[in-house]
Amino acid sequence: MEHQEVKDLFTEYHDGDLSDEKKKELETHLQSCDECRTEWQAFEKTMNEISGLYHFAPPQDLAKNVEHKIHRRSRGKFFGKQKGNNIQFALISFILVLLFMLAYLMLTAVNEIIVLDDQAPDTAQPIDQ
Amino acid sequence: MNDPSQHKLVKQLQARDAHAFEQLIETHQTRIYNLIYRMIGNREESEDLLQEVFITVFKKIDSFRGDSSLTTWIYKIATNHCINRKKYLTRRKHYAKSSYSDLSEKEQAESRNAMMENLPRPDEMAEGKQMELLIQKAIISLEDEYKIVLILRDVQNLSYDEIEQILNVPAGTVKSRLHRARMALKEKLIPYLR
Ligand SMILES: [Zn+2]
Repeated sequence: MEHQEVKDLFTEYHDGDLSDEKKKELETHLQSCDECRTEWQAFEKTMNEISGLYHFAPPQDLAKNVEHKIHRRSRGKFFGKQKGNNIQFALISFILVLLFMLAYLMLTAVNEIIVLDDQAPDTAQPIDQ
Repeated sequence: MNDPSQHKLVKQLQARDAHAFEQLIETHQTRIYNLIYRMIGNREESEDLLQEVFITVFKKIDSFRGDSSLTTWIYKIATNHCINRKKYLTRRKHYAKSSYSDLSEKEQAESRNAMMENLPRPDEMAEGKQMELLIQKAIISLEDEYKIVLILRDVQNLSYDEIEQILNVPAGTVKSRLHRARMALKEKLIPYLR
């Protein structure tokens, strides 16, 4: 195996993707070649350092902040929770409308009674005069 | 999409269930945050971008067809955001420096070199945290298409299969880019390794 061929196989060798035959060839070369062996050791150390990198904790309250942004940008139209509020609003409106209708019906009923009461003397009056 | 629990979650998300959104963020925030941070290299910028990634996920959830796993799909959105943000940041830096925006390639290379030149000399290096910082800077200095493959594979430990789907490139390309990224990183780190 040539030096370059060996170096080109570092990734597959590291990942364990080489065939037994290729692996044996590569290892034989590494044993006898200082240049490639030094480079392979640096490669392995590099891989080792990468795998030891920190995994940072995400910022706190991410979900809350994202939700807040979505609410703001969608003017509160995005989440189902908001739909729930809409249903509440619709229910309250419906009840209010119902109450108004009831009040109106009651008032007109009272008016009719008053009108009937008024009408009796009205029609009676001219006769009296 | 064969995973029934994922199917259920997607249905809840599409029904705008706020609790499902919280659950989704909870599950993915650490991985996605670390992906972004390794790509961008700036905490503040990364935190802002992380929010934008999830906002896009929620905005586009109706278009999720289940051709890939939900996680892969989120990774896809995140990598696109990273690459776009990096382009934007480079552009902004260029406009601040000069009016020639088409110098990007050359200036990118220059800023990468400058970054490595700013690293401490090997004999000035203290153990531990310095190494972390050094590797982070070395990763950041790679070109985007190599950097992303290295981060997905070696920092996030994703499979080749997942990376192919996320980046939408064939397996051979993923492998060759990864190899080039690892070799480039090794070259940058050689003076500091012992
Ligand atoms: Zn050799």
